[in-house]
Amino acid sequence: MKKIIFVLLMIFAVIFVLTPIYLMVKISLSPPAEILTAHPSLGMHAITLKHWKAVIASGELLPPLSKSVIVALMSVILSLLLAIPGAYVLSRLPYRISSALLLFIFLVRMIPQIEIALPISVSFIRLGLLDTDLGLALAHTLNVLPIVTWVLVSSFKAVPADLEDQAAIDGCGKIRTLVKIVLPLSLPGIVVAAIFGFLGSWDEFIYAIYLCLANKTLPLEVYYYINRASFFIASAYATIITIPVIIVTYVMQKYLKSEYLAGAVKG
Amino acid sequence: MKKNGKSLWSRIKKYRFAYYFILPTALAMLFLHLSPIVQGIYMSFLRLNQFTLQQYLLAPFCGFDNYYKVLINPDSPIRIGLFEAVRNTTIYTVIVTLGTLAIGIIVALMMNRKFFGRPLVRTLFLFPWIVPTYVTGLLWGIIWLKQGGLVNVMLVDWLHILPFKPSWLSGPNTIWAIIIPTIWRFWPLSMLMLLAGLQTIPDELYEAADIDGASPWRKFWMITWPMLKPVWFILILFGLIYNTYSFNIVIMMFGFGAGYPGEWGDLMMTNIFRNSFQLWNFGTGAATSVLLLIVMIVVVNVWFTYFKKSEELRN
Repeated sequence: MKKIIFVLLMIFAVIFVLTPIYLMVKISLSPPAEILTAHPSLGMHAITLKHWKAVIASGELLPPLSKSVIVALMSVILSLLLAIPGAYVLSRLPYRISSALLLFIFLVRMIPQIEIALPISVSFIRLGLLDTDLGLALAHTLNVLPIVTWVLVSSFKAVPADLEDQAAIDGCGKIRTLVKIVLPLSLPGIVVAAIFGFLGSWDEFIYAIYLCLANKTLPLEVYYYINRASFFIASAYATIITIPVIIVTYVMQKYLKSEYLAGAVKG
Repeated sequence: MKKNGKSLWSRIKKYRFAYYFILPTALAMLFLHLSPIVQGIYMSFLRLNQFTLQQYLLAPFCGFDNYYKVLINPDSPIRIGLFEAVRNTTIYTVIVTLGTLAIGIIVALMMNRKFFGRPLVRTLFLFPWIVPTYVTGLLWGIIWLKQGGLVNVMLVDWLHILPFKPSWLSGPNTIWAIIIPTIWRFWPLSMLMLLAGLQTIPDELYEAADIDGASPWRKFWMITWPMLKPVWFILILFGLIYNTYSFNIVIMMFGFGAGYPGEWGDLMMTNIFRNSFQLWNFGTGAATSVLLLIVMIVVVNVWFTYFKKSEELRN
């Protein structure tokens, strides 16, 4: 009896998770006649690549996709460079202090982005960063840096301090210890931090509205797209841009162990 | 930190490398974050609208006029829909935070035992979290459609729960139309964190409880839940913060008309966005943001104090 309930709950959870994604793929592959009926069915009866071809041929896919990828990569690399030394120190401080500092980093996020987007765009106009990839990447770093720091602190904590002491005895400086010993050992954690950071920038909407004029990022493109396209095109577009992320995460998911999230939580 | 009577300076010197290491992060936060925040707060005291935007920070100073407009003046157009936005945001934040936590803990408990196909299921559960929020909004916008949307087809045509097809994207139902996708998108993350927490609980505790003959229900509330406290403390904290500032899913579902003022689909963020970006009242938008910031600081502090108090009680 218990087992049946368990299996049923599991199946229900899987269905809840997968149905919307399945539906997106299905709509993007179905001829309009199949979807636009009063009683649509769940199965796939006819498949057409019409909408996919339309999206690819429209030329509105690659520019925003590449802009989003470039900006996300830039902000991830920037955040990693900025966060690695700080997170290393945080991971070696006593739990009370490090957790307080970490939480403070997150609390800074509590000012609405909409409000600080205007000051940022004004100063970016002065610096000539408006509508550039670097400018948007800098703005996204605001979102990405806290997440990256969070994950990095957890993974650095997993590196035993004894190793560092030994390195110090052998005459290894702090920076060398970090680069030669701590970083290689916590590589999986850095990968997780990069995934989290990438998704954080990939998802960002508000700064992009203010900071993109000519070249739009994916969220903006999708937003303006659905305002004028049918939802077949919208689903095809959404499917095409979701698939690469799903594949990347599927490949990386062996790194995505829950321990990296727990480290900052436990003492 | 050691407290062995050393002077502050010697302690700073001892940890000198720590300050060097933390410097890049601190500087980045300072320049990227603090200066816009200070400017933003200053903006809330300026009459900054479409006529004065050119002057930016040199716009006429108007003291607390913006706050007066937002809080007290009953005739100001800014207040249209503000009450509803506050109400919706509160409901939305509480339900989404608790909902993701509840689903997260149930599924984490289920995932914590071994069963056939667990790695596959774990991968599948990650999918919503990989789908970007803007795609989530788009996707659920299709699912909620009145005619032919999956929810209505399921409820009316297949299960016959409702006699007619309700409209989800207008009227009071809209609040559910934004709550459920948000839970759908974010529960995998809370599940992962809770699962990580579950795996740190030592088995001996459960074995001891088994000897005492405790029921599973009791074991959950006496062992699992208290042991997971650091995790759900963080999850609720992040939930409160992130969901109050939720924007993408709503704007994708309802467009820039997001939350027609006074409707159930309007959140604080869309309200401020409308004021700032569409009505060009950046000053009052900033004032609303600052007020929201103050409220959130209070809320977070209450949550912290509660957590600390209960920690002291336990020790």
